[in-house]
Amino acid sequence: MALRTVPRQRFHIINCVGLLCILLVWSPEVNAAPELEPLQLSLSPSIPAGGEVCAMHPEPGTPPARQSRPVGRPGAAAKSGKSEKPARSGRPGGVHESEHRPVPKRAYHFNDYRRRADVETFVRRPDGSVITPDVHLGYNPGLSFPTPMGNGPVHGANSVYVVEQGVDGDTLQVRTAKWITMHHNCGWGHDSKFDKTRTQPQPLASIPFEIIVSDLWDTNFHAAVKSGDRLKITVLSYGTPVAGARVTLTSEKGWSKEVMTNEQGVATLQLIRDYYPVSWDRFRRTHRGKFLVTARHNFKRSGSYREQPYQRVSYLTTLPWKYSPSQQDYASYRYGLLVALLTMTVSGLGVYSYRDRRSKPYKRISLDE
Amino acid sequence: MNRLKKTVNNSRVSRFRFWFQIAAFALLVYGGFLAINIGDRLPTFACVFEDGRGGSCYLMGFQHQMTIPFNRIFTGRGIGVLVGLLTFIGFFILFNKAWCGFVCPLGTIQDWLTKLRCRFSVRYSSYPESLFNRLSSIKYILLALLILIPMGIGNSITGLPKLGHDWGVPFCMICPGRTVLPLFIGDFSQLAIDFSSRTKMVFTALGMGITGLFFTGAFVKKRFICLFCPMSGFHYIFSKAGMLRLTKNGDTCTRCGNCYRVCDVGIRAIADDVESKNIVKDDCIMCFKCVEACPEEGCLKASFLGIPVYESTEEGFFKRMKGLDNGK
Repeated sequence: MALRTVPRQRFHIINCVGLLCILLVWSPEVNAAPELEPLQLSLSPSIPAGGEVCAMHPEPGTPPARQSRPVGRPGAAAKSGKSEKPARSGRPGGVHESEHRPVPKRAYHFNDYRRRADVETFVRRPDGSVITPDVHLGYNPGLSFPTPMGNGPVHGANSVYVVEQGVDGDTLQVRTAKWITMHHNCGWGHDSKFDKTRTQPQPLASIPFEIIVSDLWDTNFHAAVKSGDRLKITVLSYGTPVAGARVTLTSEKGWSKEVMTNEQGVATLQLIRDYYPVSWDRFRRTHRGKFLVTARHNFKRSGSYREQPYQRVSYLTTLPWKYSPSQQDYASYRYGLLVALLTMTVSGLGVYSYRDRRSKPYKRISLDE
Repeated sequence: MNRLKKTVNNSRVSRFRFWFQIAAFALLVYGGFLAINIGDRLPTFACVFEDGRGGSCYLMGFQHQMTIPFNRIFTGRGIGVLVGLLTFIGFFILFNKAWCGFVCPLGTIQDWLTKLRCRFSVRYSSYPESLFNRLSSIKYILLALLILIPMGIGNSITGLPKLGHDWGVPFCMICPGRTVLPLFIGDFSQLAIDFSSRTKMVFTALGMGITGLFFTGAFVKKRFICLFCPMSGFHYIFSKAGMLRLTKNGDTCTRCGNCYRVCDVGIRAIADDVESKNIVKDDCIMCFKCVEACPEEGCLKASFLGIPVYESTEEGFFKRMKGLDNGK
C-alpha cells in the first residue's frame, strides 16, 4: 500500500496541536515554579562560641584562656581560628555550639528570605512554652532570644524556628529552618537526664513543616550522633507525620543521600564516615563534623494565602546537626581485653607460683630414742 | 533502751553490712533509672561513666575543677571549687570512712570476690608490715597526681608547657570503677584502648591493666584495691571531723590480735596501738568487723556524735562465735 504523503506545513500544525493537548492534559505533581534554596539557620557570627564554661566539660582542645573569654566579645571566634562564615544553602555550615557552654543570649543567622514573603520566628523551650525571638531582617537577617542561666525552664533542648511563607506564581512556597540548641551546664545538675522533654527535641504543632531527629543527645547532655549511626528522621506538618516526603542528608564533604518517609512519616538514614584527617596525628576524637538534613514535600492543594490564590503547596525545611567520629574509628576492644586478660593471667600465675614456692612440703621427723 | 543496746551489740554487723552494701550498690549503680540522684560530690566511687548511676563520685568533678587557672581562683570558678569541696566534706563527715565499708560499689564487688574465693576454699593473702606501709603510701602519690596533672592543663607549672586535655581526668582513666561498674548495666564501651592520642592510649591501656589486676588482686587479697585508693587518702584528711567514729579503750585491750586477723585491709595498728583513742587509720574502711571480733567489754566502740551505736562485748562475742560454729 502506498503511503499518503502529508504536506510539511500540515505536519507541523498537527505536531503543535498535539503538544498543546499534551501540555493541557498533563498536570505535573511537582510545581513548575522554580524551586527555592533551602532556608537554613546558623550560629550568628556576631556572637562567638564563648560563654559560661561548664566546669565539668571544658571544650576539648580549647586553651583555658579562650574559655574564660567574656560573653559577646566581637571577633573572638575569628581569633580562635574557627570559621565564622554564614552557612551556604545546601551545605552544612556555621559554627556549632557546645552543649556545655551556655550563654545568656542566643543569636542565629538565617541565609535568605523573600522580600514579599511573611517571616515568622518561634522558640520552643524545653518546658513547652513558646516565645517569639527578636528578629532583624535586612542584609544579614537573624534572630536572638534570652536564655536565662540556671536550672530553670530553659535548661534542656530549645528548638528555634524560622517560617517563611509566600505565593510564587501558583505555588505557596513554605520554607522553614530549624536549629536545636542545648542549654546546659553540669553545675545546674543532671536531675532531668532521663526526662525526654529536656533531652529530646519536641515538635511544635504550629510549624507547617519540620524535622525531628531522634537521639541527638545522651543522658549526660552530650551530643550523641556518631558517624555510622542510623538516624531516625521524622517529618511532621503541623505536628502530623508526612508520608512520601523526600529527606536528604548532606554531609560536610558534600556526600548526600535521599530517601522517602514511610506512612508514619519516618525515614532512616545512615550517616557515613566523613572525617579523614591527613595523618593519624591530626585525628581528633572530639572532632565535630557537620551535616544537614533537608526535607521536601510538594503536593496539589488549592487555596489562597494573603488573598493570593495558589494551586500547589511546596514545603521545604532544614535542620543542621553535628556528629563525632565513631568509637570504632579510634578504639579497640581486642587490645583492651588482651591487656586485661594478660595482666590477670600474669598476676594470677605470679601469686600461684609465689605461694607454691613458699609452701613447705610435709616432712616426717623420726627421732631415734 | 538497754535491751535494744544489748540486742545490737550481740548482733553481727557483717550481716547487716552485707545487705546494706547490696542496697547501696543498687542505689548507686541503678538509681538513675529511677530518677534518683543523690548528688555529684559523693565521697565514694559512683562512676560518672556509668549511665544508670544514682549519684556521682567527687573525684571526677574535682579533677575537672583542678584545671582552674591560678589567676581565676578568686573568681566565681574558685567559689565553685570551694562549694564542691564543702559539699564533699559535708557528705563525708556524716558517715566518715564507712562510705568505703558500707557504700562503695567497687568495695562491694571486692567483697563479693572474697566470698567467691571462700567458696573455692582458696586461702587469702596478706602483706608483711613493711610492704604494707610502703604500698599504703601509693594512694597519696595518686592523690597528688590527680591534683597536679589537671593543674598542669590550666596552668604552666614551673614554666613547663601546659598539658593537653587528654590528661583531663587522669585518675578516672586508670580507675577500675570506670571499666567495671558500667558492665553492670551491660555497657562494655569502656573496655577498649583509645588510640586517638598517645596520652589516651597509655591511660586506657593502664586502666585495662589495672582492671585485670583488680580482679586477680581482689580474689586473693581482701579489699586489694582499697590500699591504693586516693579517695581513701582524701577521706583521711577530714576523718577526724567525722560524726561516725571508731574508738578504742586501750586499757581493756589484751592484744589478742583478733581485730587484726579479721581486718579486710590488714591494719596492724588496730591491734598494736593501745595508746590512741581514735583508731581510724587511713586505710580503715570502717566495716566494724574488728568490733565484732573483739571479746573485750567496751574495748572497741563505734559511735555517732558521741552516742555509742555498736560496741564490743564479751556476751556478743561468744554469741557470734557460737553462731559461726553452728554455721549461721
